[in-house]
Amino acid sequence: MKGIRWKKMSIIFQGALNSLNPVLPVKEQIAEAIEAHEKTEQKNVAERISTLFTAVGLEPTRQENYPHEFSGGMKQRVMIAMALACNPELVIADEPTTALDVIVQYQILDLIRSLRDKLQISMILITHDLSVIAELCDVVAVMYAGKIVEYGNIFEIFEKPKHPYTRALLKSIPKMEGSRTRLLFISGSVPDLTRPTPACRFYARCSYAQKICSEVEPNLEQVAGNVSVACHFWRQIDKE
Amino acid sequence: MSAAEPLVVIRNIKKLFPVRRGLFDRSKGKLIHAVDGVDVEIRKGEVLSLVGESGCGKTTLARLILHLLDPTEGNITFDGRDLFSRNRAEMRKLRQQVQAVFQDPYASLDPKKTILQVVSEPLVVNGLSKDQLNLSKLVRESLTAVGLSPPELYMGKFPYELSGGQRQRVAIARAIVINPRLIVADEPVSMLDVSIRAEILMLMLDLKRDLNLTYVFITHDLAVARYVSDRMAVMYLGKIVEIGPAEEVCARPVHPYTRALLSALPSADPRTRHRGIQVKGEVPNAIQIPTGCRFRPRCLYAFEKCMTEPSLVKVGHDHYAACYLGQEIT
Repeated sequence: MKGIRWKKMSIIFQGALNSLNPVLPVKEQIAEAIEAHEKTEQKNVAERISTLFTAVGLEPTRQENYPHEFSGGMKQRVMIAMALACNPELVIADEPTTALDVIVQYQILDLIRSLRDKLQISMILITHDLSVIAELCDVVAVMYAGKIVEYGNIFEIFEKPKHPYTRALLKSIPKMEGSRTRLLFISGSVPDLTRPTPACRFYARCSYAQKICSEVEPNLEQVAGNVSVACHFWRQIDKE
Repeated sequence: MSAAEPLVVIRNIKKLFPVRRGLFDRSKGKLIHAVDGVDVEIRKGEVLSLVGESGCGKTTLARLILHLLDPTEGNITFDGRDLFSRNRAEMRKLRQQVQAVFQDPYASLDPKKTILQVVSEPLVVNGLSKDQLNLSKLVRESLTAVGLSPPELYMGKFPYELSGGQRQRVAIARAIVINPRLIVADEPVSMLDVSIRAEILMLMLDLKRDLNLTYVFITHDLAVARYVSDRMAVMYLGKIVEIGPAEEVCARPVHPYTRALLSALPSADPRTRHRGIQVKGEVPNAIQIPTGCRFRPRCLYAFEKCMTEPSLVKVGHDHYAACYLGQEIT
């Protein structure tokens, strides 16, 4: 595990503002990540950090600075530099832009996109923001109460969601175009996961629910070329 | 949309905060220009949204409207009367007509009070309820109105027993229980799950219609602002840079900053992923406001004239922008 962590896969945390040590220059924090995983000389480390800073759009001279001298967006860039420090193959980004303003969010998403293209890394992007997913992802897995309920190609899922939860979710966000029709929402709340039942986890909040849904939990089945859905009634929903 | 009568008139309001003197005291005597000269009217029955990035002064403006802060300069009138009146009785009366819903329903409800106590507090504080019976009747009505029914089920509970969405409903019930005319909602859905957001937004709009309310709705989410509001005001570094009918501002933005904000918005449709954003740099701090137009250092269209600060000019029907280019760049 130790061999894999950070070398093969790394993570960008949500709270960029709180994920850095406030009393150390950022340089040392990145160096720590590199030195913990590789045997490299001091000189090389410094050079690598400079390269990383350039890659994420920060002045290499800024590496001497402390976290409080950076803005929120810049701290997130430092976190990204840190995640890339050991050339990982997979980067997990957990709500990487949730705490940021729209313009800064755009800049960070753009950076993530270009780094992914340039370095050919795979990414898992975790977010509750559907438009960030629409902006960045190729494949999407929709989770509900601890299970994946729909999985597949982003274009197919956003265009024609087959799971009632995905459908409701997509209809609940206000859009920037078109007329302002009444928003749909999912009433009720997530089930109590300490007392699992044999029912479909979305049963209590689903408008398509029938008797079978309370008795048999649906499995994730492949329904079309690139999409899998866990719902007994996906066919019916698909026809609408 | 006809220009309805104004409920609140805000004239050249300013709020400057002194920078707190730190250990090394380098910024002694400096001031943060949180709200730096805002003129705006809130019309009866409308939803006016204030949008902008963090630090643009939207929350400070809200706190001024709520009279939680005293302005450094300028004034606000509510229904023709001075909101910052020195007359305490008058102030009390005005305050009853303006209520707030805050962002974080986990922090805005006293954890040691039952829902009955939380919602009845405005009635008690303002001496509006003659007896316990009447008090609990009003609380029940208010809870029912926000969809927490039967109210008896919730009145004895404590905030920790409720979900985030339910708590925000309680916060709304508390705001409407004394029949205010204006509700200032500061990011009321930002802390909620996506699926619950729509529910609370719909509730707020339904209440507005049923109770004849006027809203000031603060949000950083332009799609939410467009959805709920009649008019939208875009703030940048303590000033309103563009204001107009919400759909119009989103469809035909005039100010380069509004355009930048809109261009930065991730699209909700993967087929229309877009690149190219119309802004450079980051928001400067509110201590040293750039001279001239405050957006000038980041603006792609800036020219000489922008060294003098522009004021809001009419650029369309009920649509104003503080930019010399006016309609030219559209």
